[in-house]
Amino acid sequence: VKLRNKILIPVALILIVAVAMITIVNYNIARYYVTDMIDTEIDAAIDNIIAAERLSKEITGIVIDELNVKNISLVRALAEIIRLDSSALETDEMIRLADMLNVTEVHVADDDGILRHGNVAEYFGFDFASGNQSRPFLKILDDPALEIAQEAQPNVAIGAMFSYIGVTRTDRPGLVQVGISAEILDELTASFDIQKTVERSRLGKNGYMFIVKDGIITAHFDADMIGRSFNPSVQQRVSKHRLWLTFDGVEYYAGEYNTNGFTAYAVVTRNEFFSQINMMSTVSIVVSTVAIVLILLLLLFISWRITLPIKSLLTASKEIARGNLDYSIDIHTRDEIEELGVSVNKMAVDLKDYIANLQTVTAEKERIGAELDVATKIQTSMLPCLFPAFPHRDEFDIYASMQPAKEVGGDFYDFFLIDDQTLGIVMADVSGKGIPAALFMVIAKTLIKNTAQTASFGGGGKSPKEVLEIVNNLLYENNDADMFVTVFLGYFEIPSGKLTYVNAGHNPPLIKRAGEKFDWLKTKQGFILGGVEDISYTQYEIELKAGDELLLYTDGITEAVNNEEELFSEQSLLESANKAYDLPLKELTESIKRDIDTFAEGAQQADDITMLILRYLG
Amino acid sequence: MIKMTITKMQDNGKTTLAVEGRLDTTTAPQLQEAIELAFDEQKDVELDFSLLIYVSSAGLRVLLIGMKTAKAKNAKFTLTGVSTEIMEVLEMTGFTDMLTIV
Repeated sequence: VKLRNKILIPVALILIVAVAMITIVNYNIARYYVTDMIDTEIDAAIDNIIAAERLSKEITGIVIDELNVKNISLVRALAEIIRLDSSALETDEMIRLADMLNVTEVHVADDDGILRHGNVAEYFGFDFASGNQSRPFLKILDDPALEIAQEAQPNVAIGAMFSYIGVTRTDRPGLVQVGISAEILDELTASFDIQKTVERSRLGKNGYMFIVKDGIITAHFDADMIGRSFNPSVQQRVSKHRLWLTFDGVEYYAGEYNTNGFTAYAVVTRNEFFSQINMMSTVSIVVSTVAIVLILLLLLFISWRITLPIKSLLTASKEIARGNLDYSIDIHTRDEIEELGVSVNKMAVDLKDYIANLQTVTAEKERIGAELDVATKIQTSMLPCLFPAFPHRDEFDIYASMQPAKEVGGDFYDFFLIDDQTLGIVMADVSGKGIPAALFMVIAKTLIKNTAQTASFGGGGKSPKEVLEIVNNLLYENNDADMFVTVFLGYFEIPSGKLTYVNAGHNPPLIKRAGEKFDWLKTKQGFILGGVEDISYTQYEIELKAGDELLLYTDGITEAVNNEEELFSEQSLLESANKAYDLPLKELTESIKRDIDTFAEGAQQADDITMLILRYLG
Repeated sequence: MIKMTITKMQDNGKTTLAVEGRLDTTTAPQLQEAIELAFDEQKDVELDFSLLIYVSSAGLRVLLIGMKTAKAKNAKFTLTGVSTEIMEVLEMTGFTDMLTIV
């Protein structure tokens, strides 16, 4: 579900932003398009009006030209009638002819340009030279070939709009003239009215046109508006012919065009203008929204397809984490998820194998550990450990102890009576640790004791030197592991106190004379046992007096380490022994051990700690 | 922490192994291997103990093996630069009588 959100939310956000941008762009495109469309309509409408106005003028011109030709013919016919029959000049006849010819006025002037005859009697005597409108006609008197058709203009007499046509008289010099009221012309050109064109022009749904001349509406879609003054407030001028204006409280987008003394307007209300844009935008928004929904649905489907196998992976990993290693998942998506599923299955199988393997190994280790414990016990139990060891002998006291390290080591001590008068004492350390050292120790101990005791059995008696030389060769044979043992072997002759000893590579003992302190018993050291064949050892003799003590030990004491990897050292041993020299033997060894423990600061004991003390009582 | 490093130099039939650090149960097999390899490659082997600070019984066993190998091959196995502390151990265990110490 979380994974799905991770996919859907960003995509949805991106889509919304995209749609917002599309909408903005689209709105502008729509505005541009709608403006263009409306502009086109406005141009078309105004072109239409201008064209209509021009056409109407052209047609009017043609009609007037045609009319003038006919009217000239008419005036010529009238002049001919007058030449044929002078009675036609009678006023009554003139009125009759005017009605018949459907003209408003008929005038006949003499060669002086004075009006003499016509259908309007009150004009008789009018001098053509006296008015601007009439004066041009006098040219006909000088040039009888001249024919004049005047444009409609106010006449001299009453200022009414009249169009006059005149030619020469044919009965005598003078001129004949007819006047046609402009009302007739208006009727003729009425069919080309601008108003009709304006009424027919529509822009969009509610747009329309109107014409303004001198600030007054002269043509308008709504005929009731004609005659009203046009006084808009311009909101914004977009270009030369486009502007936003407000009139009668309504805002319009307008096209404005000045031509031939009038201004044509084509207008669309602001509401319509924007409703068209909004309609186009709305369409694009709806389309975009539908697209978003479709894309999101598609994504939902895709994320469902992705997350479904992931969910089963999740279930699988939870099951496996719970310890159900037989759980297996089945995903066939043919993608990385399927590979992951295969890996998870493999992991479960591997875990199962691994755990099974680990159990076997652990069991094996436990077995070996248990066996090592037994080995340590056997090794320890081989050492004499009952004290007092010789309760019936009051000539000497002896005490020994071994504190094994965690790993079975190769230290051992021994003491035994060789004969009634001789005590054999042994302190030894086999090289290395573990089972090999323990085995070697058993052999060495047995060989030394046996050799020492057997030798005396024959009565001849073998010295420590001879014993160790024999044992050295015995150990050397078949010593493929190149192991060796350091041995201190001493023969203590009880009655005399004489100690005969050989030190085969072992730590030098401490000796304490009665009333004095411990000191080293340092003599030339022999080579270790079991390393080299046919070694010749040197043995030394000293004499112990009553109260003298001999302390034997192994390097487990002098090389005990603390957390800084410093050695306890021979010097510390000497000080420790002297600190407690007057204690009973057991307490003395315990005191030394405590000092070692204090020094070690809890660091693990690396080697066996072994001590043997002999006190000669005399 | 590196407890022991061996620097190997060879010249004219003799391999010199300079041993630095502690020679104990954990590092002894490394030196044993180096000594055996040196005897395979060259005739004589010399151990430079100038920078050796400690030798345990496992280290002495390696010296014993070196001695035996040299004897079997009739080659020389010598120690140089032995410090006072190390010399004490060698004297105590009798190795001073058996080894050639220069």
